[in-house]
Amino acid sequence: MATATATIQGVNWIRLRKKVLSRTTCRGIVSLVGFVVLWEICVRLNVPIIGNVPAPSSVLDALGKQLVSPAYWLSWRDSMIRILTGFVAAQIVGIPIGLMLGVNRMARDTIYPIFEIMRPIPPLAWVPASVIFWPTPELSMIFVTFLGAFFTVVLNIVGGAKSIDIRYIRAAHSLGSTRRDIFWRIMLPATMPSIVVGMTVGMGVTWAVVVAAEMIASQSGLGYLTWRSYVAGEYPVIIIGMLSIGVAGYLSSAGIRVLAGRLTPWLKVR
Amino acid sequence: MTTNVDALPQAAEAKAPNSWTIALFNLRLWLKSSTPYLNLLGLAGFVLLWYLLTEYFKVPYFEKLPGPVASFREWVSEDPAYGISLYTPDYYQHIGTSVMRVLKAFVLATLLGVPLGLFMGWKKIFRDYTFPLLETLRPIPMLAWVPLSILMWPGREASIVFLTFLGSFFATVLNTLLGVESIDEVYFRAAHSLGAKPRHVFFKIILPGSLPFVFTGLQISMGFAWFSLVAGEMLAGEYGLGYLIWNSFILVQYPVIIIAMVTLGVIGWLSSALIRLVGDRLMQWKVREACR
Amino acid sequence: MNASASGMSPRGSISIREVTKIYDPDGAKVLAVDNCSMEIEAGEFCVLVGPSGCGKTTLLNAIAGFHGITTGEIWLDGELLCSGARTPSPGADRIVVFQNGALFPWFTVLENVTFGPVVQGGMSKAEAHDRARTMLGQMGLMGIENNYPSEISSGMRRRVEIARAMMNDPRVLLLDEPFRAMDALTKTVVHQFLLDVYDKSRKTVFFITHDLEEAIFLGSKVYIMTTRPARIKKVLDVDIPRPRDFRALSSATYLRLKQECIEAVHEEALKAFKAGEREMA
Repeated sequence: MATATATIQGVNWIRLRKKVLSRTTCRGIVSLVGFVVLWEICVRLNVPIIGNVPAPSSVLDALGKQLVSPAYWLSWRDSMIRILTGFVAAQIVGIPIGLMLGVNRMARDTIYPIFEIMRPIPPLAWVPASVIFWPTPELSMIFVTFLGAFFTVVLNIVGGAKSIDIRYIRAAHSLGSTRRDIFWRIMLPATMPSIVVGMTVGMGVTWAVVVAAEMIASQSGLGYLTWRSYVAGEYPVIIIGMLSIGVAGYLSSAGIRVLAGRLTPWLKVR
Repeated sequence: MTTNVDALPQAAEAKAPNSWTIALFNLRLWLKSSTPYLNLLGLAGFVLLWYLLTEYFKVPYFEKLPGPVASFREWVSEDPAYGISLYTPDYYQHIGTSVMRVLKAFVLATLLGVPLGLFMGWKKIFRDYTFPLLETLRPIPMLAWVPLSILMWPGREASIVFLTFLGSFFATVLNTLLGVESIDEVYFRAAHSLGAKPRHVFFKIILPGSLPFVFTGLQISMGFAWFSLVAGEMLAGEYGLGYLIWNSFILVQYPVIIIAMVTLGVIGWLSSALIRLVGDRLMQWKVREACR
Repeated sequence: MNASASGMSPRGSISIREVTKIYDPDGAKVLAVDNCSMEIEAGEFCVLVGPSGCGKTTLLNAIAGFHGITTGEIWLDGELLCSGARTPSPGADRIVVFQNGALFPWFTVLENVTFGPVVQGGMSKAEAHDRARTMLGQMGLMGIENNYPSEISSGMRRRVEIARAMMNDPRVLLLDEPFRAMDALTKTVVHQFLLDVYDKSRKTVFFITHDLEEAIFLGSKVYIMTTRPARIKKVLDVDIPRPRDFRALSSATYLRLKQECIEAVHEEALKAFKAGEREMA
């Protein structure tokens, strides 16, 4: 072969260097730095609308204080617990329901329309009803979080299970599979990509819901931190709250992606 | 099923002679199957369960929730106990306010987002500069913007519309970009080979080629718009369905919450159905592909 | 356009001189085409045969102008098209018909066929539509012009794509395994179609395939390529008289050429197969 690959211990160094120093990366950094500088200038010059946003320099100032404050980290913990509980509960309830609806036509015809009807109602509209129903605000918030992810998960799985290529099932039948085999060895893995998509999208929705629910009806968490900073007039902290939520959301999506790679190894080949 | 029935009359207009027959045939087939009856059964069962839990047996916890009968009575009452029903102008004002806000935000997001996304997909250098910014801002849920947007904009109206706009803007841009990227390289090559100039590539390849994704994006973005709107209205509104939900909660007028939620659901559904309709009209080639 | 072209001496001679192409993705140098030379006369039906992935398409893409070459030169009608220093650009004088088809799914057949003249600005839309209708009629493709590509059969699509190329009166027709993944029956139909088009227009055709029988049946000259890096292993002159039809497939000349071809190609195919296995491991 006429391939002269510069591989040392499995790492393609030329490729890595090319990637890190690529024009795309440089441009990305330039644009981000430019954005921050422009923002600072706009605030300094008191440009209308953007001028009302706290300047990056003041945010940096406030960040130092927040990072050493235990209250800040408690907000992280509280939001994370809510996300995790709501999200995991949504998976535990949603995946079996989604699979059942996907596999059983009769169940799908009966129950699916209820989901179709509930879906367009924004999850936040559930907050009051949930607060009325659940005995503690904490439970009601977790419930709303759960709902946000739940619909996404179920709808994705049903879509995935419905679109399984019938040939796989026929092949399994002709190879002598029982119904149980078909469920565990064909339906479940074939639906796995949709489950993963449901998780990814669901995680995004979960964060949006938690943040809003915390703003509306809670005394803790990153959403509350952001809202309280607004009420208390500590404007730079608003930005810190937003960025923290962004980082937290990004980290959870990254976590899901790792999990997704484990669950669907056959999709990673390319 | 429903999408098929929706789509077919469209194709019929565009000189596909037997589409109507197909639609009718499909409809008849659908009515003969158990599907529509099971659908009805499921929905009726759901409402019945809700009724039994909240109003008939008054199961603990559930009894606090508004029941379907009470909510429905309130909705159709000419003299509603809590001031909101089909016969009160207030109800329509809330609806009107919310719809106007979503409309403004959605139109703005589409007008800015689609060209931006197309342009990002078209010119790599432009994409290199803008995409990282977008990616940095995207993980922040739209609702975390609430305080900032109140701070930025004078007046609540502008901040709610801005919030709603943000919700749909990101979805629109990213899906449009995805749409451009989904176009097979071979179409660009074919166009170049046939002598297309850059503007032709833009208008004849990139624009139509990304339309399916753009419309998926618009549907998602409509969903996000309603989502953010409700949050914005709950926190800062003076009118609108989100505000109505929150206000009724505070004033302990629980049946109104259900009325507003159902109304939101119906309008949300209608708005995405409308987008689907427009999309089908613009993408005859997709519709006909689906008919085959 | 057409009138002036028919008045001139036939155009479309291609001269490929010592062309080498090295791909360099991620610093891994891959030699795709190695020192390849061929002279294609104007109006010749030239077929390149070789195992899949041997670098034939690289050569075609260089002529089409999709990418440059590392060293060597390619000339078209005495003009330098591309060389190591000169990156080519695609043009409507060298139209490509792609492997998996590239009819724009969002345009109707008529819009697809008139795409070239319309974007080049050479014709008004009405004029282009008229010409396209006439041409589709001559080619036996009437009655589908308002359909979308997804609504017609794959054989039909391939014929429309050839019609779309012919609408531009190109100097060279570049076909990149256009009939791959087609069933045998459809293939016979599109083969006959292409032969008819060629007999009527006498355009230079540069045709790539891995199917020997197709190569001999269609081509005037068949170049057998080696496994990557692509070199020319053998050149065959196909002296089956034109116009050809399916009867040519049972002629003695055809069978003799096929035999010759099979021997040459089989060796290369084995090499390619082994190389592929090595790559996978």
